[in-house]
Amino acid sequence: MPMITLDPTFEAFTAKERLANSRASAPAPKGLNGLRVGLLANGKHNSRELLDALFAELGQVDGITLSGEPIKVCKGSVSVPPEPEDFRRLVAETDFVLVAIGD
Amino acid sequence: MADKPDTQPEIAVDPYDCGPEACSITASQLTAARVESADPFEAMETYFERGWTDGLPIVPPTPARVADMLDAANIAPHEVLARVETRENVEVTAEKLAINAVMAGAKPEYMPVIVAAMRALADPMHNLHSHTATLMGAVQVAIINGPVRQRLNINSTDGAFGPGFRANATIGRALRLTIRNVLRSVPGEFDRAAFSHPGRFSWCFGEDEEESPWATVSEDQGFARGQDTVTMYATGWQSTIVGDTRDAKELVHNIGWGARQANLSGWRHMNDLDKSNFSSFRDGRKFLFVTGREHIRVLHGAGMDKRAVQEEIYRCFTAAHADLPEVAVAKPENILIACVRGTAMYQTFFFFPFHSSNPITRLIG
Repeated sequence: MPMITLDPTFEAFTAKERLANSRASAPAPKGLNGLRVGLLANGKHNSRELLDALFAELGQVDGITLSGEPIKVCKGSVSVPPEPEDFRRLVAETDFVLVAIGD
Repeated sequence: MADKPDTQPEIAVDPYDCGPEACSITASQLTAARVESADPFEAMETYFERGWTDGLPIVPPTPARVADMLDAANIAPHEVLARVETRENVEVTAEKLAINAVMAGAKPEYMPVIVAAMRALADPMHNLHSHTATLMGAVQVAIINGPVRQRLNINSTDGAFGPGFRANATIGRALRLTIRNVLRSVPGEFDRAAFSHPGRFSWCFGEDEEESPWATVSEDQGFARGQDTVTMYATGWQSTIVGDTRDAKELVHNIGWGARQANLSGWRHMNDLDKSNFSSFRDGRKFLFVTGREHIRVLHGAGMDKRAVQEEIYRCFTAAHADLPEVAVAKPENILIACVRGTAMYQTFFFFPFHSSNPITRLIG
């Protein structure tokens, strides 16, 4: 008679159902021209600098013309979601969002 | 086994299981995937191979043992004790917690403590996702108050931070195995710790309420003396202040300034950084000191109550200093002081708080 024991894991992570649990990713934009950009920093003290630098770099890439100034959001702390109002702004007022941590 | 109902073959009692309890209603409600092994040693090896242990052997979680664990806490297997939105909505059910508690070597009577601790970990202001994923390798420390310490032999005296005490060791380990197995805080996956920490095997201790003249951590959090509680505290790292002066003022300054010096490496807590960072946890962020008997005798003997010690340490943390930045502590009450009856050594431990977490206390049972 075999010994029966139980799986200690969250099976949605470790079994094939994981895919069903994962949040769907939006398709990548086909191009960046004319798109509105959001910059979402996680609150660490270099994250905003990193995102600002990345945005500036994007502006130097040939063939890319971004639309206006970015929407900038800095979370209240690391590892927590953005405030609902910030989330709403990013969804409503941008076409894609750059996210970064910075140490 | 003659009285085993024929209608529940899926929970059949095997030679290594606990006996007729396997036929309980609780056992019949267990839904976790089953693993077949020839014997306990093969089961242990299977769990090692699948990455389901912390590197140490485990007790095979048979349905009967898991059901006993759940019954001891009078909790249904499907009850959700924690959900972490920022980690793909991972859920910790009572069943999964019980499985990991069995694996840790916990006794069923420990389960109410483990359940309460899990609920504390689940509080959004504790921010479980953050300090189980962080580069810092933060540790989750369980502090137990109330008569439950005596009932379960939770050590709050000499050696309380170390090995040799089953309740301390297995309650903390049950939480850490759950963090590993259910939350997938596995190195290289959600656990990104640069060094990690031996306290991540287990860290649970009782507070000495018998000899300490001061209010307990639990009372400071608003609970009454005599209530059984668990407080979960997330710490980045620790330091210790050893000093045998009998001068209370000198001692409290040694403790306060020693901890401030230790804070210097904790750059995220400094007020000279942009205060908008980490602000959502700042008001409730507490700096934990665990004081041994000898230091308490010096301080209390000079007439200092806990409030006076908190205020003096707060002054040490916030006084102007040419080389040491001010510590980002919001108020004197955020100096959290627990007592362990460590004898003969004039010693206090300082626990550096994980920046984005507040300690949370929950009633047991």
